[in-house]
Amino acid sequence: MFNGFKKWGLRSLSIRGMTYLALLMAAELVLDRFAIGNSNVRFTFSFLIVALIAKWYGPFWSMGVAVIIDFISTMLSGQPYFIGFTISAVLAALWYSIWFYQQENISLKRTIFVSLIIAMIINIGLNSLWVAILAKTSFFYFLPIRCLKNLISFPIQSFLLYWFLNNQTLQRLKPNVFK
Amino acid sequence: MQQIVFGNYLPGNSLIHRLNPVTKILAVLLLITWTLVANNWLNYGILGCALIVQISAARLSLSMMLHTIIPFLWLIGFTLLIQILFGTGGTIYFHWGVVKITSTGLVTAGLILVRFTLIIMEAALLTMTTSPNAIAAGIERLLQPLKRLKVPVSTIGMMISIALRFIPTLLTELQTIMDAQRSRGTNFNQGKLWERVRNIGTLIIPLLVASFRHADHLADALGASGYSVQAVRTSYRKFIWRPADTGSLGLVIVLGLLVLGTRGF
Repeated sequence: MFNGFKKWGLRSLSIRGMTYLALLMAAELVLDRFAIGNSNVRFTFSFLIVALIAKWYGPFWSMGVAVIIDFISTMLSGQPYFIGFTISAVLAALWYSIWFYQQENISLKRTIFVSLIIAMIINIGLNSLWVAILAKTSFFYFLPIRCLKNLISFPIQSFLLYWFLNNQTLQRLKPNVFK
Repeated sequence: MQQIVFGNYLPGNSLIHRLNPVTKILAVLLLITWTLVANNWLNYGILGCALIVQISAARLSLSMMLHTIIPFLWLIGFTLLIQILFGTGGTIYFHWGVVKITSTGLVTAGLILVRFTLIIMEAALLTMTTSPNAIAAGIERLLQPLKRLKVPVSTIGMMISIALRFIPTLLTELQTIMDAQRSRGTNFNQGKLWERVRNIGTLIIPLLVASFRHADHLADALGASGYSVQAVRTSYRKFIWRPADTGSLGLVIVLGLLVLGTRGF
């Protein structure tokens, strides 16, 4: 029981674990700026880095990094900060950690399930709610366009996650991240 | 790739530039909260006047600030259009099927426009007057109370500094990888969605391999210089808390009380 808690809780990073996580944060910030689509329907690749951090570092670090990256990314791009989107980012990182942390091989079924829940609950549900609160409009205003966007992006995200998290080059490069 | 810019910091020596980054981050968070709480023209008028005072104190031009709204025009336009065409209540000016233009719909659209403009410009004011490194230092300072919960705040601060330092390096690496892929005939700007996703997907693994090479070198250098994750760290750059910081935060709180006092319930 205690070992399980220790495995999922706060664990000290090794120096290499810290530098790898810092560079993953930098890569996430770079990929977050590299988008396909317009400002409302935008497809970025930063979710792959979030999933990799969750797989290698577990829930504590992935959720912590999600808070920091969301804040820094918003501030650096001059966008208005809103805590709702940070909650979405933290929940996504937690959900990835629950299903991917310390898993050697990840099945396509698993990535489809994980992406589906994120698309339905976080992207369509929570994010529509945050936009509605920000604009003081009805929750249903942005729902059709968000549903359409996620209908297109969900299968792409599922297959990309499956390919990325099972990539042999990345698995070989994984350092000993904890002390 | 040239369009990918991190931050829009404009160096200067104005009153706002000289404030502690912690003050500026807290002030922006509070001002966004006040804008979210505001619900009438008087509230928005008070917040608008306060924003104009801040812009002049930062020695920035209003047109420069208005430019920060451009990336959000699509989102704002879409929201306004729906509000104008489907808003209900008040005098009906136009009615055709489900489309209904009403006085309440037009007023609400106006409030939404002002609300979006204020929120975006308040956030832009922070990034225009604070360097990314100062923002990182401010975040690290704000996280200090978490030390009591044994959260490794120094490690997090170090990671933020490394991440910000390596963004330009990774952008250069990404440009090199893209050039290599282009020379093999890959087109990143055209093609169907799936083709574009696949083309960009091929950049990610080489980018991470390059990132990990830098991480390895950095870890070796840190280890060789005796860096310890547990050690108490000091900072080269100190941001001192001045009376101007206390005064600025106090004014923001007074502004909040004014908004709450004039808010319609």
